[in-house]
Amino acid sequence: MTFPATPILDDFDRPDEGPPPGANWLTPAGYDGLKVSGGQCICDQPGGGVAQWGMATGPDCEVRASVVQYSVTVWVLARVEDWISSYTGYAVELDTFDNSIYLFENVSGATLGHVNVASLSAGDKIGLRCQGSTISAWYCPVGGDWTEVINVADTTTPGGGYLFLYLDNDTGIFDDFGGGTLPGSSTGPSPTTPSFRRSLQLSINLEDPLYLSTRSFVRRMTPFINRYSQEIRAIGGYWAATLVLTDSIRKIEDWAEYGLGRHIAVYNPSLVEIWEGFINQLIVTEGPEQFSRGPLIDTGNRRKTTYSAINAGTAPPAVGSRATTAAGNNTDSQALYGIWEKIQAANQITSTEATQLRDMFLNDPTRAYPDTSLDSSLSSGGNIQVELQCLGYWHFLTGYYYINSAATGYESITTKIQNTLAAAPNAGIFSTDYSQIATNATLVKKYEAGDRTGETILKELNSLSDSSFNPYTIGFYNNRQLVYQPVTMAVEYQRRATGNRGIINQVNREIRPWDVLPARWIFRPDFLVGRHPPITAATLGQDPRAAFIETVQFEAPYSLSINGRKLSQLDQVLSRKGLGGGG
Amino acid sequence: MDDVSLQLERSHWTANAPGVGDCVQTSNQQNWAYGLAFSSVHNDGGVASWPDFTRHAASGDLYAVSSIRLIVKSIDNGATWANNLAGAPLDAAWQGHGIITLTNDTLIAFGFTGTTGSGAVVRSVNNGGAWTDESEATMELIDDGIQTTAGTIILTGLQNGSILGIWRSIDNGATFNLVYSSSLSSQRSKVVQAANGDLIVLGQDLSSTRSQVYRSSDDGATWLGLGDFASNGGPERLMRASDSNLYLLPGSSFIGPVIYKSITNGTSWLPLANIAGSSFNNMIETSTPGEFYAVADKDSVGADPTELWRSTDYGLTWQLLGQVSGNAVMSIGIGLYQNNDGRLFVGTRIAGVGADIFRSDVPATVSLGRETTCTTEVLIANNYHYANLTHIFIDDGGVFSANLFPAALPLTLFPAFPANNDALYFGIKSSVIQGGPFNNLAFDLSTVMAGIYTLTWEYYNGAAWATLTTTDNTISLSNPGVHSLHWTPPSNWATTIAVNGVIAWWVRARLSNISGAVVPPVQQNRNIYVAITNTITTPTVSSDIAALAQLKLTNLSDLDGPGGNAPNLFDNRIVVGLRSVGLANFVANLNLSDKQQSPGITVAVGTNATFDDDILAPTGRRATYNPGGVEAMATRATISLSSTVARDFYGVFHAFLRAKRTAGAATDLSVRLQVATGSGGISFTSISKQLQSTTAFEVLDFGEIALPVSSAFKSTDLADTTEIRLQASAASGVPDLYLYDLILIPVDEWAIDAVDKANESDSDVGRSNGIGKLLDIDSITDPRFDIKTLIRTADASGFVTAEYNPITNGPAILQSNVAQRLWFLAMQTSTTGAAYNWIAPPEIVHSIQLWANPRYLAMRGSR
Repeated sequence: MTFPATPILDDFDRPDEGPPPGANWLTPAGYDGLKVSGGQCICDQPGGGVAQWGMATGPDCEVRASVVQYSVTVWVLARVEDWISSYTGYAVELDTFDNSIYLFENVSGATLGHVNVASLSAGDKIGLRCQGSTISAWYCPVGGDWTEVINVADTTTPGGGYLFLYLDNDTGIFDDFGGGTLPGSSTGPSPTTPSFRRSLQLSINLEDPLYLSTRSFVRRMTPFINRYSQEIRAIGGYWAATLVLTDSIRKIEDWAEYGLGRHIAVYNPSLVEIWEGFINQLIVTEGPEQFSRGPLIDTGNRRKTTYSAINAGTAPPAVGSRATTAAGNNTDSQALYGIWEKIQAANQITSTEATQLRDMFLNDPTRAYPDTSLDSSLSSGGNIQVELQCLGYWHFLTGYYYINSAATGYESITTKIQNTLAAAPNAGIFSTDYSQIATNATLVKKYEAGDRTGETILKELNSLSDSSFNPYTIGFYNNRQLVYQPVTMAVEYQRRATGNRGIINQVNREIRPWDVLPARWIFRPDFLVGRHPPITAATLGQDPRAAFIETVQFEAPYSLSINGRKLSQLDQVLSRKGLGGGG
Repeated sequence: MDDVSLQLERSHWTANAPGVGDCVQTSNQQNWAYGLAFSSVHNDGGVASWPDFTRHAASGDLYAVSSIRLIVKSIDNGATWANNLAGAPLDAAWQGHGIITLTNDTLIAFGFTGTTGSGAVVRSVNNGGAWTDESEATMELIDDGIQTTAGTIILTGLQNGSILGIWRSIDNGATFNLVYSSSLSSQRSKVVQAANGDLIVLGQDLSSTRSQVYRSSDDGATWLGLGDFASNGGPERLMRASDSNLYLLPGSSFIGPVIYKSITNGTSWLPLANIAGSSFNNMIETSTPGEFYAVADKDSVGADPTELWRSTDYGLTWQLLGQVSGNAVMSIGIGLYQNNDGRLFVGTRIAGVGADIFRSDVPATVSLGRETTCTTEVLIANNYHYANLTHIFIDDGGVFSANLFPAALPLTLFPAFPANNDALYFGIKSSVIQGGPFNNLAFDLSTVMAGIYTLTWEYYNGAAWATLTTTDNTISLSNPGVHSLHWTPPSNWATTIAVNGVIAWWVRARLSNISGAVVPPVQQNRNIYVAITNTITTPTVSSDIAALAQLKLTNLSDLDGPGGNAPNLFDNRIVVGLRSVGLANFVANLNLSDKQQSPGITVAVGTNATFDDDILAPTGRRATYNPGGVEAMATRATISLSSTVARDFYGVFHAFLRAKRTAGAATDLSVRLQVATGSGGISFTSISKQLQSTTAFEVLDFGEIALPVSSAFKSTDLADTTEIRLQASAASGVPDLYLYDLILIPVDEWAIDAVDKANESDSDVGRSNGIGKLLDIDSITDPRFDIKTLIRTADASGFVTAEYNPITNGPAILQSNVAQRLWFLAMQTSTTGAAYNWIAPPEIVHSIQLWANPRYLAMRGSR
């Protein structure tokens, strides 16, 4: 085999850097290194330097370099496992002291061979080949050809290792370093093909419920989850999600005991949150046994009773006006599950009966606590798993009734939204960062009797639109921040029936399925080809190729379904006049 | 949901037993060019600049020409200058454009007097002893000149009537002949000799934005017009570099300059680099092949600084180093010259001050930081910049040492017999082109300070030396090994005091209360330095698939966590991103500053925005948006990536902005990002964010951004512009918006956002009772978990004190068989409890250790 049989690995033709002389090089700890200067490899310090090529080679390998300028001795080395802790392998030294070429065995330091040459000159090349037990030194005088000058048999270091360059003082200069595993030989212990990994997992992290004052549980559950899906709505935002996870019985039962209400946050591979919510219901399966707990939102641990009072002082008893008891609380339940307000309606009872009715519900474990059920099937069984049915924090709006019964006059929609949020009984659920609540000066009455949930009020406010009757979107997104914004009347997504690129944005970047959001217009450019593209809000409404995304459902890993329709300003007008459906 | 299936992921063959990692050596070493400190060495009070310099070889004397009737001479390597044209017949009218030294040391200066045929060329054959007018009758203005390899002198400039002319002398400048007369109307022309001996003249075509090219292949005797090319204005500088190619700065159009390169000896030209935001005015190649320096007038029309730029790859990639002077005003041109001792000279003009010659110190470069190691000695800052120490002095009873940076090591700190009020000074010279304030020092002591003494760290507050509040891991220099000192730069830290004649950002360690003998400490085998980068480089890890990794990050900068004593530099959120592509030029931190930029990155401010000094900003400078009142969303700062570095930034990133609202309410300011790839509207705009506090370095999280914006780009495609714009609107004129830096954490290979969800007073990564706490990001030691993020004490016990929320796109990895970097951003909560903002003080510093367990797809032999 002619010499060399391996390529140039580094010509050092780049801006000055180091030590080490590049990203592919190492400097052994505690040693002065080599560096790139002026397109060549030189010492970093006056006392010499060493550099290790970062890629290991197989046992059959070679190394070489051009000597642009000599120091007293210049070295190339191969099969060196470690410069410090395991100085193995072989070295070829050009020594200007006596114009000699030496071949050394590094473990013992023995000289395996030695030849004299007429003169060593700048521009010479030095090489070393290790092939099996054959170790050879190679020399190429300036302007000449490569010649094998020493050839010996040695088995002291039979395995692969690393290639090194060494200069004994700063007058020496190397260039054109080459070498590597010899062609056709075993690749040895180290791979030769770099692998490039992209981490594309979702991060599904669960924590203790946000309404708890002391929270300690936090866990990244991604490796344990074998099914995940989520839904986001234009009205509501992060709406629902379902996870199925498998774990040990002990962990599964921990979920059964403590899982309800836990906070779930899902992040895309860019560490951006794409869904968050809480566990509303969980279903534990242990073979043929199934246990469920929830739904959490059906819990009523703060209750009132509204009733039409009856006056038994008349005959027949007279039905009085509607009244509402004060709120009663089951604080034990609230400490575990947060505050969930319910109103019980009754007719023709006294205030005492109403209070008793309220308290009866408050003390009923099936009403004041999340419901549980236990099912067994001796004829069939399932895996050991838990299914976590989650809801977005929008659903906390159903857990309280906003009351502002003393107020008169009007306030803007923006203000009323903020006031409604501020009335939420569970601290720390809704963000107080209102920067994503658009300013909408449309006036609405301040008065609220306390018989409408936060959800009902916000849906109604959203449906009222603004003075220009723009459609709005409303919902909770990252960090439970309410987003209330007019819908952007322009295409933001495109989806082609042909091809396999999924949904792309207006600058042709693919939107990964977990990143697709509702309340955006989507356009199908390869449907009804030839129609003029929709470029105005009015055109969007008429063009059958465009739709407004109401709902986005994603199921890991890559399933996506979207539901869209047209938007109509008429809906807003009708809602103003009390004819709409309130969203 | 795994990109590699779960089964394969967990059933690979590992180099070590599961749970066992190998140390991966890390390093934070960085080269520091500490000699580029400029000081004004001459001012003539005039209204022009100094467009050219030369050196008289025999004497070593330096000459500079000014466009206000001056030739000045220095006989002391440019330390002082004196008028050398005074008394000569033409001194009252002569305006210089250039000066050259012939091989026989004859000096030829050329310029303009306003009278055709008189004074355009003056000559001295006796080292400036006398000057004679050698003008030819048709000469009106001479713009450039060279001596060819044959000894001929070629001058190019204007004939009477603004017509381009070329003159030739074969008698060392005693006489000139007009050898070519172009019909071109031209005000600028330059001449160079190509590698093949041809002479090339480029002349500005005033009738268009193009340049005409002329060539002579007979040493200037005859000339041939080669046509024109769109050079975007007339030539400012034409030179041949050590790679034998020709380089051209057009520059005169006051818009983004393009550097042109000719590899055909001047017959064809191609654009090489487009540097947005500045107008290059002069360029040289230094004695280091491929190292170009260029000077630019920031926008060439107003009171803006003279910028110094550097390229180390023959003009392909440029780095803004900083400002040589403030308030420069464009005149004939900005001179740029390197003397044979390495010093750079810049001749510019400062508004209201006059023409100044600036001289640098002798440039030198030193490698600072910890070389590769497995120990905890590699420090990670929470910012990325370039300023590092330039001076260390020992004050021995009022007698100062020479500058001990860099010094022969080991270095004894303090005199051999320390006494009260002896002091150790550390400084970054304020005139260093890449200088700035600093916030930490890293020592490596082989001999510790011993005895009875008090060591007080102090800074200069503009009136007196005051106590600097520090986290002192050196324990008054009594702690052996690598330890660091940390502080938050005081707002009144002043650079108004000269210590041993050097004005700098100074901190000092002053001794007092000495009793008995005190042993001075000794710095061992590496220079004292400032940790300035939030990245580490790791060597290649041999592996078939990505190796599992473990990172331990120990906070070194805080003593007592949230609510404790200053400096409050704990952290309880750390974001880490891995990147193996674009290692040549990618930097995660894009400083919104007009100095210390990374190569290929320029930043320009927009409407109602300025660059200002800021002692806290990583570079000492920030961008400030000062709204006049209610203002619509508009670009306030633009980060431009040059074409040579843009592709190194291709990828997916999680973008964080560090900023401050100075007053008012959160709703007063809205900020968003816009990423543009191409000038034709290929852009992505983030949602708007608001700053919730008036605390410096509040973090705005803009989520995911991608470069290039469009997926239609291949990795090799380039856009004509690649920009990231910081846009802001104002609802009132009350607050200002301070923009510090934009941090792009790479997320497309592996990344983690480890967050303290408890946010209690003892759940942080900090230090208390002398025990540091570390964040242990671990995908190695516990095979039951793909990743864990635990807070442990950094002592031998490794007690777990908290668990962080590991938001990540997979197990911690290191890519196989490629070099790579890890980038870090540390944040802290503004207060404990449920309601807080994230802030990210740049002074936070960690040490790091890294492990890997390589993974293979099949069993292997010898390992």
